[in-house]
Amino acid sequence: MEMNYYLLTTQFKIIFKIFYLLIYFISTSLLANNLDNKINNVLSGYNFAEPSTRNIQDDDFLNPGILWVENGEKLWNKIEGPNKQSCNSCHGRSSNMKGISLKYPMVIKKKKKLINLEQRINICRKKMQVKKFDEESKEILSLSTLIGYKSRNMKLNYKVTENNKKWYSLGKELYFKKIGLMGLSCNQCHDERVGLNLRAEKVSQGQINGFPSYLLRWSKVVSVHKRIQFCNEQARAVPYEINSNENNALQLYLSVRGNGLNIETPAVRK
Amino acid sequence: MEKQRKLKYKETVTQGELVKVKTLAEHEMESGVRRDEKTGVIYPRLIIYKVTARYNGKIVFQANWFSGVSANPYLAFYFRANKSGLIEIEWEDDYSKSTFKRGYLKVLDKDGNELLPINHSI
Amino acid sequence: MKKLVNRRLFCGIILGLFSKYFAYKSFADGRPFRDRFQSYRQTFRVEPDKEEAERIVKNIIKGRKIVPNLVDLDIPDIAEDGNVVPVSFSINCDMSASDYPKRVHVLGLENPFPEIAIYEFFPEGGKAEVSFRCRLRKSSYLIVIADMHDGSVGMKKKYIDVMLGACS
Repeated sequence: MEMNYYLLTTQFKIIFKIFYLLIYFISTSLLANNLDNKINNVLSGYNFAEPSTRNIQDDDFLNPGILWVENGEKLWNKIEGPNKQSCNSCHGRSSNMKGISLKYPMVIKKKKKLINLEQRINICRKKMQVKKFDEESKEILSLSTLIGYKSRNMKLNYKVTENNKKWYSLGKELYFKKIGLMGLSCNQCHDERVGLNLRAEKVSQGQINGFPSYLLRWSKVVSVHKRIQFCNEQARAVPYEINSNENNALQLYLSVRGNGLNIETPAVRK
Repeated sequence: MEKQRKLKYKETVTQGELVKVKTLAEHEMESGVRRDEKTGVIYPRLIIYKVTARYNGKIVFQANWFSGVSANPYLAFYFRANKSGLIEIEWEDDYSKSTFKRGYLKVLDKDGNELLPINHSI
Repeated sequence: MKKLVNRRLFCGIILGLFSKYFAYKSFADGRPFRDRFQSYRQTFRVEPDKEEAERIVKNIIKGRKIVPNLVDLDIPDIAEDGNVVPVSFSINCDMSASDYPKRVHVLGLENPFPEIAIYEFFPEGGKAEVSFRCRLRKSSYLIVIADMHDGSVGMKKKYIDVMLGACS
């Protein structure tokens, strides 16, 4: 009799435990999938930086990112190729590029592919019949920083349309996907733990309004994709390649998420 | 691409005024401690080890740097100008490769006349 | 055995099957990413030598008495990144031919190479104030020593918290 009673209770306990566990898993996964992307107030990474870092960004002379802008200005007027063309000969002065960087990443209708500003520059160079720039090379970042700099202080206003709807949903999926050995998704840090400490760092909202920005840790200007890769490495996940569809889609989602923020290119972050 | 050197100061001052000179150089300032990510080979040290500021050919300020100065080094200092002249900043690299940036400073007296470094009366 | 097949177990199995779909998404797809450079960092570190740093400081001071309030040092309490720590200092002196700092040393005590910079001033300078940016390996003292023309010496020490160290 005693034995029977023991079996009965353990069986009950196990079943209840399984039941609760299941409910826990279902609820968490449902919540994770249905979390809305809306944040109450969007805050730039500037607000999470230390005052000493903000001072560097505020002054254009102190900001080393301006060196990249000036190098970009030189490249803009550099004549290259068999047709003796420069960026200037088609697009005019670089100040004409105001507001251009807000439109990227963009869907090309012909190939139905999502491209970012750096890829667009290389497409332009293909038309000029010159060698394209390497990923993350100084030249391409100088040009994209220049174009971003021209739309400084404009508001980020990216719209989801029929064309890029597919990419938007892919970006959203990637944003909420758990990756790596740590099993972290972007939203766990950048939505739920904003303002808390992650080791010595303050977790920001992960807005990309300042990119390409000057990162103090590498002492150079980097693109959004490189920064996302670094984030992935911290979560011990295999990062997606630079200029890959996944990174572009994530960039698109992040731009929509940060609508209303001012462009700060080249921002200074750590 | 040529490395940039930047220089900024107030271009017209009155006599005896302090001039703040700000400089910024584009340089990696490789400290000799960092390693290549893939091979693990140490990058050799390559820094700007000396910055000299001259005003009309005379040294007014000098900086000796070691590997502890950050990349894209910024430097701000003061000097007092009594006559107009040429500001010349020299950045000296390891391997003694020098780069220069020059600028003209205009010094006015109380009446608004320029004080030239050389008197030439005809 | 009759007790095992009851309503609760039946429900549990169904829920289990059902949840597998959801649970699949919530579990991490654990593909390891190894920091392949970490081993290098661990084995060949240029270790800072604190004794050496103190010896350098001693050699600069050479047993002279330190004059108080000669050096003003303006640095942030917390530096976000050790690669870029803004430092500015000024020396309280007349900048006349008899009273000016010959040399000003800037030292980070726990850097692999403690000497950061030496600034040389001349009486034409007008004001002994410099601002620049330095690297710090970790949270440590930053020392500014002013070696004056008349042989007196001034020193200022300040502690900086560095969140992320440089020189790795």
